[in-house]
This record gives sequence, structure tokens and C-alpha cells, in this order.
Amino acid sequence: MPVPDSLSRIVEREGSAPFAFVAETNRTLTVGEFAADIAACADSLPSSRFAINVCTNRYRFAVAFFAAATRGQINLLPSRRDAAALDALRRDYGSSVTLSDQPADSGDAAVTLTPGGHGTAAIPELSHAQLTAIVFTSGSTGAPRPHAKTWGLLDHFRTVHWRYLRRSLGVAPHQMGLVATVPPWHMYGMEWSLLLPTVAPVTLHCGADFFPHDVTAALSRFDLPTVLVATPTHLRALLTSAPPTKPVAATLSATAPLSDDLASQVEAFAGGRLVEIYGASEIGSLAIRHPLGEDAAWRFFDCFDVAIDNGRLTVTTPHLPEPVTLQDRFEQTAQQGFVLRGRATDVVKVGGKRESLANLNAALLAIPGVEDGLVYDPERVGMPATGRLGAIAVAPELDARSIRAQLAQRVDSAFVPRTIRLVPALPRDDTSKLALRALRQLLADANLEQAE
Amino acid sequence: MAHLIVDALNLEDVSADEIDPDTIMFDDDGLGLDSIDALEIAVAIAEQFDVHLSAEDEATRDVFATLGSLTAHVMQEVDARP
Repeated sequence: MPVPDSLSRIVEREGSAPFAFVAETNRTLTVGEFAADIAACADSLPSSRFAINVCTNRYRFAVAFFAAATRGQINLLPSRRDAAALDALRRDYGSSVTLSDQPADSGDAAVTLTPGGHGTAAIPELSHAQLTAIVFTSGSTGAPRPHAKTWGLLDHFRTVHWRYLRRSLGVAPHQMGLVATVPPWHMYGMEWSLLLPTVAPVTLHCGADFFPHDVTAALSRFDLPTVLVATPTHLRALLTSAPPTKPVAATLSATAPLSDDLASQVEAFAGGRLVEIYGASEIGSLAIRHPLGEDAAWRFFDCFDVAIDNGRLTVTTPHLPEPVTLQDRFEQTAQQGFVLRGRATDVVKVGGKRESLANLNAALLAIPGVEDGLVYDPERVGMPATGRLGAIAVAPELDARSIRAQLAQRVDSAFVPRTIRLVPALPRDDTSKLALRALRQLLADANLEQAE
Repeated sequence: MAHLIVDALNLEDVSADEIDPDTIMFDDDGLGLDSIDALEIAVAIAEQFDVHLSAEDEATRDVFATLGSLTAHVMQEVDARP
């Protein structure tokens, strides 16, 4: 257990160490310059209990994140950043200021500082007991679920992550460049792009690293071994561009399972080691595996106690108030590793976000004019996987487009079904359950009709 | 371009002819597309036209606004080739 009043520095590295490469100024900033930017930003912040951090630039996001923390403010990191979602957050949390690098209204605190424009400063410390951030995952009926992160938890996890990554690399290079395609306001992106460079000899690339061409350009820009932090979706897209000019030391993938086929292609494309991370937003990264290694089983980080019961894993750590039971099903191997056996619940995953089908069905049925209906994962009803959900509805007065528009108001855009089939009735049995076989038949018929 | 988008994104109940060149693509009231779609569109454009979109380019946000602006950008890039 951490001592309640123990402290650790925001960056546990030398002040002169390279911290971030900022693409817009084409400069590499040191840890000391980052600390000075944090101090300058912190001075400019109005007093508030919460800071809604919606900065889009990775460097300014990092500066705002720690500036708020040094002022004792709690970063609120919504996964939806549209006006309606932010308004709801402001209502729910009362005393808040919105930190934005593209301020939209006068109530926002502008994080428009020039990176590296404030000299150097000493690296501030934070108390382990301090609540640093609340990340949100999409919840039922549109209300996001909050997951609180103390500095103690983030500090502990970052050292564990670096220890495991270093082991994956074999001989860790002296200094590495890191390019991430995932946003820092999601747990995976926060841990592996924002926090890793605070303990590891890593220079964080801060540009618009999103499209395949941007990512390979960023990787090629470093005169150092590189680490790529991405998702299967981004990696699949990346394969369509030319490989980086130098091999990547390690490619990290998380948020969705990586197929063996894609894993081999990515390793051939990027060179270096392919590392897959398993995590859950309510905790953070939990386990690591090397899909193309001799033993490809998942290893849970040693900071977690893992108990398995009937395929369901429950993890405990002193940093969480209570044990968390994971939504995926695992099987234990003889060598103390774990193999993922699919989702244990009705949870679907799209674009790295999780949502329960029950919640999505409730949102569908809440639309005026929808008499019956359900949301399904095409892959699980024997249809080709498209990476998106489908829905089937009984709504005589509505068309597919208006249902989609209504759903977009209620659920995260990732979960809005791409295919919506309208039918006269759903073949429910006497217990009002819909048999999988009946659903398949119905969809086959509806698709046939559509095609004609 | 409308066909490319409809195909790349499996927009089953939107036909290519229906997409107005001025429809806002990334908006719940428009086509309701999101960042995963932007990635898919970029990949499809790279494969078909060998034009590589960059998010670092300030203009990309504007380019992606509507079907019309995206088409204009890709055509401009294609025409600019030696």
C-alpha cells in the first residue's frame, strides 16, 4: 500500500533529458522545458475543482493535464467531446473550467502557449493520494461512467509498464522516439503515450499522428529507435502506406484483439517486436503478450492479484478500492499464462470502446416510434464482420436514417448501427426471447429483400 | 468519390447518388461519420488515387468537411502531379 502522503515527481527523469518532439515548432523539448510550460499554464488557470481537458494537441494536452494537477484540479477526460456531452459534464460536476487548445467560447481557459517558450523549471511533485483524473467510458442511456485515477495509481502503473516494455525490447535502447495514434484522454493512450515518457528514456512525438502517411512520416523523422503505440484499426490502415525508413523497435497494439494474420503483417511491415496490451478503462493496462512469440499467452502485470473463477477473472490491486471482474473470458495455461476466450457478457467493442448490447437495445427502444428491435454484432450472428454494429427494428412510422439520427443523440457514435433493417415484427418466442437462429433467418431475409 | 465512401464504409442504406456534395460528413445531423471512418476513407483514397491525406496539415479538417471539398482536394492533388 502506498503511504498516503508519499510524493513523486511528474517526470522521474533528468531535467536535461529529451521529453517531446513538437512537430509544429520542429523542436525537441527537454523535461525542464516541459516543466516550465506546465508552470506557465498552471499560473494562467482560473481556480476550479475540476478541469475538463479537451486539448487535442498531444503536447498541450500533457501540459494542461499536469498544470491542472499541480493546481490540485481533477482532470475530467470525456470520451465524447461534442457540445452536448461537455454541457452535461459541466452540469454534473459544477465547479469546472474547460481547458482547450481551440477555445470555442469565452468560458474556456485557452491552452495556446508556445511549446518550449518559458525557459526551464524544476519538476513538480504530486501526492499519491491526489485524485488526478477521471476518465469516462460510455454508459447506458448516454450517461458516461466515471473511473477515478489517483496519482498513486498512475505513478505505480507507469513504472510497471516501463519495466515490462523494457523486458520486451530485450536490450533497451539509450533513448527512443514514441509515436502514438491513440488519444491521450483514453486510458491506453494516457498510459503509453503521456505517462511512459515521464519514466522511460522516450521522446514523445507530438503532431497530428493519425493518418497512415502521418504515422510513417513521424516514425521516420526520429534518428532513434522508435516505439509505435496503436490499435488494430490503425495498424491495418498503416499497412497501406510505405513502411517507415527505419525499423520500429516495438509496436504496441491494444483496444481489440489482433488477429495472427494482422500480427504477422505488422511485424513484417514495421520490424521489431510486436507487443499486445490488454486493458480495461476502469483499471488501465492489465496484461501483455507477444502474439508472435514462442509463448503467446497473456501475462498479467505482477502488480495485480488475479483470481479465475469459471473463466471470469477478478483483479485486485491496492490502488483500487475494490476488486474488478473483467468482461472477457479467459482460460489459464499450464505456464501461468492466460488465453482470451471471448467476451463473457453481452458487451460489444467498437473502435476500442465497450458497451453492453442491453444498453444499446434500451437506447433503440427509447426512440419514439420504435415498437421493438435489437442491436447486434454482425460477427456474432454469422455475418461478415464489418467492425460496426447492425440493428433490426419494428418502426412502421420511421425510416433507417431517422432511427440512426435519434440513436446518435443517445449513444457514442462508434455504437450507432451502420445497417438498420426495418421489419414488420420480430420472431420472439413465448418468453419474448429472440432465438439466435430466428434472428439469423430474419436478417438473411431482410438482406435479401434489400438486395432485390 | 461518393461511391468510394459508400463502399469503404459499408453505408448500406445511403446510396452514392444520395450524398449531397455539401452534406457535412462528420456530424450527427449529416452522415454521422467518425474518426474511424476518416481513417477508412483515407485508406481508400490512398489505394485508389495514391493521394495521402495528412492530419498535420491544418487544411485537412476543412478538406474532410464535405464530399465536395474532399473530392476537390483529391482532384487537385492528382492534377498537381508531374
